[in-house]
Parts: sequence; structure tokens; C-alpha cells
Amino acid sequence: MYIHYDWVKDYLKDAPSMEEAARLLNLTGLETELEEEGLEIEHTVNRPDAMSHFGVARELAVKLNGELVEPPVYTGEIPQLEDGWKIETEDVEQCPRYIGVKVDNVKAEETPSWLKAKLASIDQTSHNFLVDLTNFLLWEFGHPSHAFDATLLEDKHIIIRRGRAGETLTTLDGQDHEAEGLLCIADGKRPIAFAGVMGGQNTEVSESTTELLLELAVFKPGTVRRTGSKEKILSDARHRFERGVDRERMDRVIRRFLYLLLEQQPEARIMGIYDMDRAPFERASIRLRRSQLNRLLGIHLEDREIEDLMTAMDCRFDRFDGGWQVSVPGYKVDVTREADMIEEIIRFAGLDLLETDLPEMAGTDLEHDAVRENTTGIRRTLQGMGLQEAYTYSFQAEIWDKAVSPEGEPTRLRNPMNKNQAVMRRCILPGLLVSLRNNQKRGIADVQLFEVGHTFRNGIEPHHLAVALSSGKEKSSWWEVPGAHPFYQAKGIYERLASRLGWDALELRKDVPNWLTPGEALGIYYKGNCIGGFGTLSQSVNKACEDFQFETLPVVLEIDLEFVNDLSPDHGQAEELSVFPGMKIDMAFVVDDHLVYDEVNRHLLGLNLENLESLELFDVYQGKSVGTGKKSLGFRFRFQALERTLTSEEVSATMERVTQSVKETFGAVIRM
Amino acid sequence: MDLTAWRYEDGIAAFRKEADAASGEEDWARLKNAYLSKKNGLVTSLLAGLREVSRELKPRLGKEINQFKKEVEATLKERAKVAPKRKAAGLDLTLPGMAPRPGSLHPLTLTLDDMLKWFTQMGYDISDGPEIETTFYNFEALNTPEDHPAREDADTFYIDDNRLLRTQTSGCQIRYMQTHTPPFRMVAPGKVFRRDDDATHSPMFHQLEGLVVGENISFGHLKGTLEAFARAMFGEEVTIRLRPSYFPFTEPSAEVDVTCVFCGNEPCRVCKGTGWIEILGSGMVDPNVFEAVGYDPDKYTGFAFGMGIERISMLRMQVPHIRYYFNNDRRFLDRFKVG
Ligand SMILES: [Zn+2]
Repeated sequence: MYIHYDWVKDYLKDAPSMEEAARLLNLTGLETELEEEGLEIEHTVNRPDAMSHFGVARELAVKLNGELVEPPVYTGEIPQLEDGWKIETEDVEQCPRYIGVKVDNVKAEETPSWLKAKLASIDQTSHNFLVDLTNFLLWEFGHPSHAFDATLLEDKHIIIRRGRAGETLTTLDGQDHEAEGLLCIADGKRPIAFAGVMGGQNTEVSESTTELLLELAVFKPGTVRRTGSKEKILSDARHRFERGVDRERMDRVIRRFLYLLLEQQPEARIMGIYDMDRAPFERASIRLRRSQLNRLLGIHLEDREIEDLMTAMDCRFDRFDGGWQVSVPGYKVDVTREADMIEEIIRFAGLDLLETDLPEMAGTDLEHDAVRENTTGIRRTLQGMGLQEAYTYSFQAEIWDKAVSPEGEPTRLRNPMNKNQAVMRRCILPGLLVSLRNNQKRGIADVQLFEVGHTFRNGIEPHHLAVALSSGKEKSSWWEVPGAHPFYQAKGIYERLASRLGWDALELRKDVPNWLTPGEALGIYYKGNCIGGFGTLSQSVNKACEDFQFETLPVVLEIDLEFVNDLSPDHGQAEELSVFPGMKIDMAFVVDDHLVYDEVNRHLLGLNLENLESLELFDVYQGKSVGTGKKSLGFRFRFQALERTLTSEEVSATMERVTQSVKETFGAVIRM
Repeated sequence: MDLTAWRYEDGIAAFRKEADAASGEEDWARLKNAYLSKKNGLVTSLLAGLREVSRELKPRLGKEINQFKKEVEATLKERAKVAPKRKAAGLDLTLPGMAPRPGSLHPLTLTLDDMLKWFTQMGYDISDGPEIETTFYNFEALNTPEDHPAREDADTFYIDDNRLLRTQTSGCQIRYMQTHTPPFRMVAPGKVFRRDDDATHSPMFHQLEGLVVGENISFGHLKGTLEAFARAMFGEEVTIRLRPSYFPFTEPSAEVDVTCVFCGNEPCRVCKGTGWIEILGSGMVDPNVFEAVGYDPDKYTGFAFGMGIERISMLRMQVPHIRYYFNNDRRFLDRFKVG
């Protein structure tokens, strides 16, 4: 809100420079930026008291302990409004007080130049004198008022009530509205204004206006907000009523209006005031305990200092043993409790008075956080394997989500900002694929991403891990040997995680989720349920929307971590180490291409070879020399005995057993 | 050379065995000499021997020897490519070393890890909460009833009338208080969401919430804690200042500024010449919040604070745009390589 500083100065006896004023306001909690001739203030919602020039002056006066100058008001008699006028409310809670003041023989003439200049200084346009005067009051004291052409009011009757079925209102901005259910000001026949939001055209002040009815009222903030937000009206009046108005100043605002009106139009006749006050204002009374003040702030302020500040704020107070009973002025609409009063004191005394200290207390009982431990382990492991951590949005396009999770429905946002952020993700993968693709579009082909985060399904938020690796990848270091199928990279990642995190209870199966290509992927299962998988992305997902469309299918992994959070790695056990030399034998044999490694490996281990210390696959070879439909598997056997040196004869005998066995079982041909 | 007993399988197996055992330049040079030397290499001898075999054997042996030659040459050539030649000058010692490419952790993870490390050392428990929250935890329990003006400012994504994407991590305060008894200290990091997407706002970002409750926790404890935290994050030379502010769930409330680390109080772009940078919001727990969780506000006091993790990270890592965090452009991620 823009505040013109010269205007503020009207209400201060010794005004500081504008720069100093801006500094002081920032210290008291009004975020203020210096502009050329004024201050741009960003008010927090609890500060309607400073949403006016007088209010800003008051803030400065309290901070400086300076003198606040009240502007002149009409001090003459104001008679009761007679002549059959009646003002009433259907709901005291929605509108506890409504003041109508009728003035005759007025002219909606051109606004005098001093007032035009005031309004122009804060970029307000001039309409006519009567309307401008209400606008001036709003910017002077912050209390919205409204001027009706009294001759247009039906039945000399004003009632605050809900709009009825079929009733409409055209507001001053020219918009038509249905009034049903909304809190209205109505005359004897129809709505004439939305309470606290905007007046209607049907009773608008115009050049022909001679009789005026000025409204000054109080409306419940929530009701004003609901009307304004339902009808999409943003007005200065709404902005202030939503936050609360100073109910103690209302009589003064009326008299200020009359003063300014009579100054300009001495011939105007005050016909009378109708003050419908169904719940007279009472100041909030707060018990402020010295002990609580000290305890909350951690410092001791002198009694004098506290009392001087309270006096400057226009609080009245009675001392009691151990504190004060404080009556709070009406402009402090947000100050109703002891804590609020303590804030008022410290924000004017200055937060720089606080001493810096650390709380002394026993440490909290820290809880074991398996999820955090797990995700930290996963992050470090994958980073160590050369992957890069990504963060994608928790919401995704519905088409991405459905491509990966065709069954069931995602959780939808009611008010998304765009279609790519419409549903809560059930898998992380689509977000990573989009990131991978976006990198490719910028010419960055080789990208290996992972992300750990919440997903959303059936009202719970399971942690997932997802990985996406661009494949068809370029050779990225000088020493790298051209690699195997990228599926094995995903598998390597899975195996490393499984051993690091102790996922022994998980098993891998050929049945894969729909987002993987069967035959180039494996499913991850826990107690018979599929909880994820890894391998080549399926072509159906790749083609599902234009945001993917990879030329070479990436290799991916996703796993639901909820099932594995309670698993933990076995750190291993040591055993006696042999001090005798071992023996290494390499053996390669040709078998049918369809025979899988796992079957051969299990067979070899099942032979229970004497003194076998380790068995490794060191070579897989396919080529002309082994014949089509065949492959050569090279195994490295290490033998070692705990108590003696093995002889080559006994190892040869053992290997002979291997040779015979693989020949018989697999029809293998030994190569060496 | 008599080739009647020579078989491709044996020959190539013997070569592979030698090639497997070879390590280092000398081995490779010796192998190359033994197999491919024009003068007395095995391949040369084999080809010479081929002239003397019978017509019946010739086609098969010719084919096999050719195959053998090709494979030997290919293997030795591949090695020559991989292993740079030892020249007179020795190894090229400036080539990058052999290690897998370094991966990276996201800058928000790195920042949050640093923050959590400090709070853990100070005895804070780490807590968590759901990203889809109920209006109760996001608003009502935090002293923000339905008609409260702060609710409109929050630019909330809704699922339905009762569920929303949390706009702040403060709901974690309530969840924690409902299940713990003071005294305690806790922090809760997580994603938050606001309907705001422009140069300086992202619809999703991260916050760290903090809460300390005990019998005599004061505003001074808040100030001391946050000053120590700011120094851990931005360096021992920084100081903080508190400005009165407003949050529905704290009273009194304060914004916390840290002295600008970029200009040391000289005018600069980051702090717009003020010398101060706003880093977080804080305050003393509002009595209504204590009442919402059944704590006696006359017995307990506490302080709470909340800060944007992107904000801290942007300042520490000089990240120019908030959207960099969620685009996952490899050129950005590469800046945070570790290992
Ligand atoms: Zn600076």
C-alpha cells in the first residue's frame, strides 16, 4: 500500500525525515520500502490499524514517543434522524452497528483542489466532492464509508439482510450480481449494496444529488470476505473490513466527514443521525502478568518503560500486584490476549533488546528413523555409482501417470495450474523420463538420474526410488571398454543396493510391470507381491505421450521402499583364513545359447567341490568360433585348503569331475 | 611347420590365455612379437605351413588360420587403443585416472544435510509429515480458522474440501506435539506447495520447520538459536536481526535477517543495498496452538521457526534461479559432483 509521506506529516507534531520514518516502521513490523515521495508498505494481515495515513502517523508517534495531531472535527449538535427513517439489522453478529447520517442541500460538485491533490498523491481518481470525501476518509482513518443518494432510498428504510432469491444488484463498477444469500444493505424494496464490499448503482450519488445518506458501519470480516471472493470483487472497503476496523473511532469519523463537508458547503443541512448500535463496543481487557512477560521475552523491562509505551499506545491500565490490567484501544483489533499485548510491548521497545541465549534442556529422545537412514544409504550408494540425484515435482500430467500406472485412479488436484501438474504422482519414473528427455533436447545425451521421494496412493505416501539411465550411451572415458547391454547396468545398480541395504528377502522374477520390456527386464518381488522392477522401458510407455518418445529406450528402475525400510544389511561374519597357497583354474566350455548362467552356476555350486574357495564367471563369449546358437562361459575356480597345500593332482581330479558333469548335464564342449 | 595337428580351438585358446595373463606394456609387446612378427611370428609360420598341407585339409585350415589371424590382430589392436603406448617420454601422467564417473547429490539434499547435521548436534529430533495434508493440520490447528485472511494469501492447491497440498511444514509441529511430551526440540523438513509460478516462485519448494517446547523457553532462546544456526550456515562473522512480523501460529512473531554475506554491509544486488537478507520466519508458539494440542499455555512456552531450503541453498551456492532446482539439467547437477 502506497502512503504519501507529506500526508502522514499532517498528523505528527515533529515528523522525522522520510528515510528515518521508513527505518522506524521496519523496526516496528511494517515492511516498508522508500519510494520517491512516499512509502510502500506491505501490511501483514493483523495490521489494519496502519492501513491509513493517520494509522502510519500513530505508529511513528508511539515509536518516537512523539505527539500525534488529531485532525479537526465537527463539534456541533447532531440531532436524531426523525421523519420516519428506520435502520435495522436482521443479524447482529454480521452487522452490530450501522450509522446513517442524513445531510440535505448538498451538491455533488467538483472536488476542491486541495482534496483532489491529496487523492492524486496516492493515485486515486476524483469523481465528485461527496464521493471523494468518503474516499478521503478511508485513506485518512482506514474506515470505509459509503454515500447514498437519500432520495433514491425506498421507504426511508435501511435493513441489513441476506439477499433473497431472484434479487440482483449492479455494483458501482458496472457488474451485475445475483444477491441471493449474500449480506446486503437493502432499502424498503431491494438490495442497494453488498455489505462491506461495494455499493450499488441504483442509489449512487450523482450530479443531481441534493440529499445524502452517509453510511458508517461494522461488518463481520468473514462475511465480507465470502461475499467479495464469491462475487470476485476486490475493493478497498473489502480489504479493510476483512481485517477489522476501529470501532472506537466511529463517532469521530462521522464528525470528521461533517466538518469537511461543511467547510466546503456551509449551506448543507445536517438532518440527523440514526445510530443502530446493537452491540456497543467495549475495549478488550487483558491481564498482563509481569512473570509471563519476563518468561516469554527472557529479559526484564522496567515498569516505567512498559507503562510509558502503553500510554503512548492509548492503552489504559490498572496496576495489580505482579502486573497490569490493560484496556486495549479499538484500533488494535488483533490484540485480545496476554501474548498479543506482550508482542505490542516488545515490538515498540525493540527486538534488539532481546539477549541471545541457548535453551538449557535435556536432549530430546531421538527416535530411530529407518526411512531417513535408508534413503541416505540409497543416495550415497547411487551417487558413488556415478548417478546424479534429481528432484521432480510431486504432481505430474495425468497422461504420464496413466502411462506407467494404467490401473486405478490418481489423486487429482482440484485447482491445478496446468495440465503437467494435474495429478499426484503414483510413480516417480515419469518425472525422471521428462527430465531425461529435456536434457536430450538440449543436446545432453548421456544422463543418469535417480530420485527418492513420496508417491501418492490410496491415502498413503509410500517412499519410492526411481532411476532412469539414457542408453545407447556414448563412451565417456578413455579407458572404458565398450559395454554389455544396458540392462546389466540397471541390474548392477539393483544388486549393489540390495547388498548394501540388505534386501535378501526380495526376489527377482521374469514377470515385469507394464512399464518394462519383457525379456529385457526383471520384476522385484517381496513376499509374492511385485514392488517394482528394472530393465528396458517398455515401448508402450515410451509412445504414450509426446513428452517421452526416446529414440533409444532408456533403462529404468523403480521400487516401493515401504517394504524394505525394515530390512537391514547383514554386515557379515569372519572365518579362519588359510595360510597355504591356493590354486586358480580357469575353465571355459561351450553350451547352448538358451542355457542361463544362473542354472550353470547353481549346478557348479551344487557339486560341492572339495576345497572350493570361490567361483566366478569371468567371460561370456559368442562368435563364429563357438558356432551359431552357442556360447562359451568362462569360470574361474579358486581352491584352497585350511590345513595344507593342495596338490595339483587332487585339483585336477576335482576339475575332471566338473568336466564330466557339465558334459553330461549340459552337453558342454570344453574349450580349455 | 607341420599343421596336421593344429586346431583353431586350441590355438585361439592358448592365445586368449596368454592375452588374459598379459599385464602391462611389455607383455603386450612380447605377445605382438610372438604372434604377428613378419619374421617369425606364429601367424607368419602358420601361413607358411599352409603351403605344405594336403589338398583335403587346405580349405578348412585356410579358413581357420584366417579366422585366427583376424582375432589375434583385433585383440592386440583393441589393447593398443585402450592402453596408450609407453613412449620415450613415459606415460602421459596427465590423463584422467580410472574411476567411475562421479555422481552427484542434489544441491537441496546437500543443503538440507548440512542443516540437519547442525540441528542433530544440538539435540533436535527429525520428524516428517505427509505432503497431502488435511485443512485441520495446515490451518485450523495453526490458529488459522476458515475466515482468516492469511488463508486467502496462502494460494493453496486443493484435492477436495478437506484435503490440500500443504502450504507449509508447520503442520508437522501439531503432529509432533500430539505424540510427544515436552521438553523437546524437533525439526521437520519437507516439500510444500503454493499456486505461484514465476521467476522467483516455484509451485513446489522445500521448508524446514523447527519447534522447541519447554517450561521456560524464551524469545531470547529463539534469537540465540537462530543466530548460532545462521553462523553455522553462513560463517562465524554474520549476525542476525529480528523484525516484528505476523504468523497466525506464533505470538510474538519475527522475521529473521542475516547480515549480507555478499557485501559485508556495502550496497549490493543480493541485499538491494540494505546489508540484510531475510532468511526465515519465527516466533513464540501461540497459546491457541498449545490449546489445540492440549498443552497448558501457562505451563509451557516454546518457539517455532520455518525457512525455505531453496532460499538457504541459493544464498550459499549462488544459484541464480529457483527453477534450476527442478529442471534437472545435467549442466546444473554437474556443479555438485562429489567423489
Ligand atoms: Zn549485500
